[in-house]
Amino acid sequence: MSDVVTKRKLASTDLANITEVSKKLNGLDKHTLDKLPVQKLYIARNYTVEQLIAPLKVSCFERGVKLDISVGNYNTAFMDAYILPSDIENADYILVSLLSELIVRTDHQAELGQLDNSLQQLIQCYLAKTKAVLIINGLLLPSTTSVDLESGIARYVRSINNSLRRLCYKHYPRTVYQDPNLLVSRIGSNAAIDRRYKYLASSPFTPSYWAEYSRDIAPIICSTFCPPKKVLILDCDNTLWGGVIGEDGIEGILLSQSDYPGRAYYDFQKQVVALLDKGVLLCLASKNNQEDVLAVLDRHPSCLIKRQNIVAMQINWDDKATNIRKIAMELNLGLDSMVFIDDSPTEIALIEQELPEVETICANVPPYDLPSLIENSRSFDGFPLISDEDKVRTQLYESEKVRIKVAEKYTDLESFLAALDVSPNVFTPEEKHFGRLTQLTQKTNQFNLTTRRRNLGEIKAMAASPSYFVKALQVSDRYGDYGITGLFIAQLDESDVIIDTFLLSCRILGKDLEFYFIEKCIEDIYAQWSPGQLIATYTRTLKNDQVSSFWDKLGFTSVEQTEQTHLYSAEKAQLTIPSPRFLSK
Amino acid sequence: MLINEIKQIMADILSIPISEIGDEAHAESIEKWDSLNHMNMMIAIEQQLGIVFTESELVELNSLQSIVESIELKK
Repeated sequence: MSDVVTKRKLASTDLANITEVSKKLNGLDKHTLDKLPVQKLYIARNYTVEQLIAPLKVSCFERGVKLDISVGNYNTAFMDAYILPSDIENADYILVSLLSELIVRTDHQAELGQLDNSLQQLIQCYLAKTKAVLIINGLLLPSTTSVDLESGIARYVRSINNSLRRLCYKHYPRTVYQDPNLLVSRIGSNAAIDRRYKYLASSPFTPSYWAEYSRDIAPIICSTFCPPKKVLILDCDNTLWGGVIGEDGIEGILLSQSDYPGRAYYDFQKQVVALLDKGVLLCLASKNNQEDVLAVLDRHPSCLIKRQNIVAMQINWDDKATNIRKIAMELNLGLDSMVFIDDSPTEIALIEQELPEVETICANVPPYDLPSLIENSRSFDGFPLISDEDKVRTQLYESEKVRIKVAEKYTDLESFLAALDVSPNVFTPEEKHFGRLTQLTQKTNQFNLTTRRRNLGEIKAMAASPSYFVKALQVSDRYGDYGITGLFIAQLDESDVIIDTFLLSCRILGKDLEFYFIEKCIEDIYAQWSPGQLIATYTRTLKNDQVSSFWDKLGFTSVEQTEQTHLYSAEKAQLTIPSPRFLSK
Repeated sequence: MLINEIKQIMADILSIPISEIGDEAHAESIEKWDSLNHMNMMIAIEQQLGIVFTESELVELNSLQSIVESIELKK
């Protein structure tokens, strides 16, 4: 029972407040967490989604599930399905979230058509190769197309989203389609998008967006252990209609298709009736005379909820805890499958205290907020449970159908990379590139051998100096142009050449471009200076561990090593630069 | 004190004890202060203090001192 209370307290967390969420997450009791069932989520993405992690974990914890999340590399979203890292293989859920802006740089129909195909292939590949449930995000509409939604890129994005949604609902039972545009319109584009970080960090969404997003997908991810609720128990007076039926009479209560506030109660009833399609059972618990209430259900022209929609009712003057227990017994369903909605905070408090397993929704709000209460609670959301047998069957079916297709397409990472049409360009930078190169030395942390931060003046001076050798790398593939994403600087030192800087932006990692780039640079250096020795350094920082053995991989000899710095040298003959897989056509 | 308030936000976001954040703290000296947590800290500071950083501030303010100084200028 104390767990239930903890969960209820957690549910009050403001998921959009970064500090609060971070504190909450760090403060979670490890002992409690370890007792919870675990679900694993893998996120395939091409933009910064890391701010989703904390609020989503907290949301899942509120539902009694410990969520492990692993996030794929930037711009390997299309590769992940082929490499299939173990994170994916073990995942219970795979979230595919892509921003078309980072893939398609023009608004040509052809490019978007290709993206559409790639997305569908990706979905099929995941379905064939994993057991996970896929959560597919639609593409975000560009924010600059508000004038005419039928023109240009917006039209194609909408048509891709439509076909994705249809695929998910009609053909792939193991998928859920989620449309980010609905969410953006729900909270407003200014609240959802942070244009500064969209450009600075490929992180377009605000904490408010991620908070709402977490509330939307946590019920799906937690479905297995915290299934959607099955029963809604409704209070009547000031919940299903305004006023008190026993006093105001059927003519006097507020319930109408035209006038406020009656119309708000009518809209609330619409939401309730919509739950019938989801298979939710409706019950009444009201302090009233039963015949008064039934008269409204049977005869009020604007009452959408009818007597035959109600599977159990306790309309009497007993306390509601007793009545809800009776309903549970009558239906032979657990209290933890029930939601109780009432406008009286006292009744809500009583149920929270007496029957903490029952979820409560307090309808003590202005009438205009009533219609969104049920949806906001997410109580009835979730992924429809599929039995293991169903899972196996659908999976067999899907894999049969898809395997041939996939096998025809790409059998391994090499051929996938080859099909990507990676086209790198190593060039001598000019004036107009120096700004970007300076920025790369300032910002690149992970794939950076020496992490020497330079200012614009230094970069200019080096590029102009005859004793320096400066090369830049620009990369594009079939999904777009990644721009200038690599820098190499070397310095002539008598008969040797010292490699001063070698770095790659994390945007393009995972494609073996480092080998391509360094090979080209070294070739050019030998053509230009034919040095005796190449001297290279690895300088350890807190963030560049992944390249600590880079020079070893190329065949350099270790000369001197301290905790901070590892010095290498090599002659040309001893170098063994691995050949990049994207060239293996 | 503003500096202590900022330290507390940083400690909450980086999930490290506040005692590990000295007055001279900067991005290169704290392991967890990576680009992602930098973004989180800046947003957290904006949320908590009700201020807005400019784009160049978001990029350039990578030490406790410089963050505090720029907030003071905004007051």
